[in-house]
Amino acid sequence: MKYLEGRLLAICVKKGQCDAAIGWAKTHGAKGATVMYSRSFSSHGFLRAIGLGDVEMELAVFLQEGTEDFQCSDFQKMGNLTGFALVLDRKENGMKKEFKLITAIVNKGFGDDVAEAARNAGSIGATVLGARGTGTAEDAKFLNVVLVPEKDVVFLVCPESISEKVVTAIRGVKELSAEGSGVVFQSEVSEFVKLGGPKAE
Amino acid sequence: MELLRKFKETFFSILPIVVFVVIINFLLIPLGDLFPRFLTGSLLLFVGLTLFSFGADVALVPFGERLGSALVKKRSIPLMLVIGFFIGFIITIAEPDVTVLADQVVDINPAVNKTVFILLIGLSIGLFLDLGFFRTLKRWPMKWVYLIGYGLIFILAALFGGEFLSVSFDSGGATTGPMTVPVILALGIGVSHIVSGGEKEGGFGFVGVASMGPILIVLVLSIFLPDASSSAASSDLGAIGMTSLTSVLLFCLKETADAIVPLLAIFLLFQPLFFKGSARWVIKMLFGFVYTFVGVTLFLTGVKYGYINAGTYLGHQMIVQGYGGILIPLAFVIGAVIVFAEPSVQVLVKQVETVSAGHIKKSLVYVFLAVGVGLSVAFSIIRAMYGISMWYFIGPGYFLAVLLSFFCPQMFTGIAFDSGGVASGPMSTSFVLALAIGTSMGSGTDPMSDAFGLVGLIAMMPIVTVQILGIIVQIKERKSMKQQERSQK
Repeated sequence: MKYLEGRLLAICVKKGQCDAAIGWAKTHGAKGATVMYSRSFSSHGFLRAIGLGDVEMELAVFLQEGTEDFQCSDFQKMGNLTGFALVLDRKENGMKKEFKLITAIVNKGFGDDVAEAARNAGSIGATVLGARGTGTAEDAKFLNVVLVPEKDVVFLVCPESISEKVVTAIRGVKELSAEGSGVVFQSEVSEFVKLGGPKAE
Repeated sequence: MELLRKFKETFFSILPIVVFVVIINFLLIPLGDLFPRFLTGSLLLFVGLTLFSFGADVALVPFGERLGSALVKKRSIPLMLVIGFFIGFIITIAEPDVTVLADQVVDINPAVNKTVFILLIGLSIGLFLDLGFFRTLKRWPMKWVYLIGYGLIFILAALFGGEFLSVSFDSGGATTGPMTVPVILALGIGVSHIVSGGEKEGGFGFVGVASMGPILIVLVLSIFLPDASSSAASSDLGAIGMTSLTSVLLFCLKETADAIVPLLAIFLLFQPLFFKGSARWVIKMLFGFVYTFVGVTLFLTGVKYGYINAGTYLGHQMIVQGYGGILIPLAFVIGAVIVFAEPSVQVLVKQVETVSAGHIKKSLVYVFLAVGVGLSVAFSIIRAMYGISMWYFIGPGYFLAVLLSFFCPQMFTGIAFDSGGVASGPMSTSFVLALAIGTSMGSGTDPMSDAFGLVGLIAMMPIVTVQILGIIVQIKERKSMKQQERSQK
C-alpha cells in the first residue's frame, strides 16, 4: 500500500477566525482544510467554576503534501488569531520533540473532567470535540436503528517533560475508572506554536 | 474575551428594535411617559437575553440533548414513549403562555373549563413528542408527517373552526415558550447524535411536530362545545396599565419559576437514573439553570414593563393619527427586527450552525427568518386594519409550506417547521400582538378575531421562507458540484 507523503497541520482558533486563517493558507498553496467546531476552556478558574468557562473554537486540519510554503509559525505572524497550531509528522526528522499531543476519547460529558485533571497536572489547556463511537456487535438494534455511543474527544498539547504526568492524571479521573470508559494516547508533535496573547490556550 | 463577545452579540440583536422605536418616538409618534419605560425595558431585555443565552448554552441545550439520547439509549419502546410523554406534558402545563392561551379560550367560549383545557394542551404536546421520537427512529419522512398532520388540521378547521380558528393556530406557537423550545429542540438533536445515519436530518423537526398538537386539540375541542359568541371579552385587551417595575418583576419571577421548576425536577431525577454525569457536570448544569432563570425573568420583565404598552399605544396612535398607510411597511420592518430579539431564535440558529458544522451560516438563516416574520407581521396588521379572515392567509400559507417540503432537503424542512414554533416567542406574543390589538382598536375591527391569529401567522411564514432558503442552498450546491466535476475533466 502506498501512502501519501505528507504531514498534518492543525490550527485551533477562536470561533469566527478560522475562515481568515484558511483563506490565508490557500493563498500559500494549501488545497483546502477540514473544519470542526470544538470547545476550549477559559484560563480563569472562577469562570470555569461558575459554568461560564467554555470558549467556542474552530479546529482546521490541513494535509500538507509539500506544495505549501507555510509553517505553524506563519499563522503566528497573521497576528489576529487566538489559539494554537501544531504539526503532526510521520517522518522522523531527527529533531528532539519538545511537545506531545495527548488525545483522550471518553464517554460524552466527561471531557471537562479530563481537561481539569490535565490542568491540575500542569498542562495549560484542552480542546474538546463531540464525536461518536461505532458501537459493537452486541449493540442491539432498536426499532431497526443502530445506536452508537456518544463520545468526547479531548486534545491537549503539553511539554514532553510532563506528558507522562498528565496521562497518569487523566487515567486517575475517578469517573473514568470503570473498564470501557475510554482511551488515552500520546503522539509526537514536531511543531507547536501558540497564537495570540497570553489568554490563548 | 468570550463573555464580552456574548454581550456584544445580544447587544446587536436587540439594537435594531430599540433604534426603530426610538426613531418612531422622535419622528412620528412621541411615546410620552411610555418612552422611559421602554428604555428601562430594553436594558432589562439586554441583560436578560445575555444571561438566557449563557443558560441555554450551558444548561438547556445540553440537558435536552442528553435527555433525548438517554430515552433512546435504553432501547425500550414503552419507556421511551411513557417518559417522552411525561416530559412533554409536565413542561407544557407549567408554561405560563399556556395559561394565557387558556384565558383567551375561556374568553371566547365560557363553556371551556380552564384546568381541563391546560391538561389537554399538555396531553397533546406529550403525544406529539412521542410521535417525534417514533418518527425519527422509524425514519418516517418528515414531509408525510406534516402533510397528514396539517391535512387533518385543515379538514377540522374547515368543518368546525369557526370562532376558534385564530386561537387554534395561535396555540401551536404560543405553547412553546422560551424555556421549553430549546429543550424540545435539543431532544431531537440528542437522538440524532446516537442514531447512526442521524446526521441526514440533523435532529431538527421536533418543535415543528410538537406544535401541531395544540392546534389539533383546540380544533377537536371546538367540536364538542356549544356555540357562544364573545361580546365583552375583548374589552380589557390592551388596557394600558401603568404597573410598577417591582410588581411586574415579581409577577415574572413567579411565572419563570413555575416553568423552570419542572425542568429542574426532571434534571435532578434523571441525573442519578440516566445521565450519571460527573459532579463537575452537574454543578455546571445547575449554574446554567440559574442563568436561565434570572435571564428569562429579566427578559420577560423588560417585555411586560416596557414593550407591551408601547406596542398597543403605537398601533392605536398610528391609525388614529392617520399613518395607516405607512403602518404596513413599518410592520414588516418591526417583524424583521424583532426576530433577532427572540430568545429561542438565537438557540435555533446557533444549533443550525453547530449541527451543520458551519456549513449553513447563521446570517443566512437570520435573513430568511427576518423576511418570514416581517411578512407575517405585515399580514397581521393588514388583517387588524381591515378585518380580513384568517383563512386567506393560513390556507395558501400552509399549502405552500407543505408543498415546498417535497422539494426541500430534509434537514431544512425540519429547521423550517421548527422555526415556526421558535419565532413565535415572548416578543411576538406580547409586543407585536399588542401592536396588532392597538391597530385593531384604532381601526374599529374586533381584536379578538382580527388581531389574534398573529402568532399563528408568525409561526407559519418562516416555514415557507426557510424552506425556500433550503431549496436555494440545494440548487447552489448542485451547481458547484457540477462545476467541480467539469473542472476535474
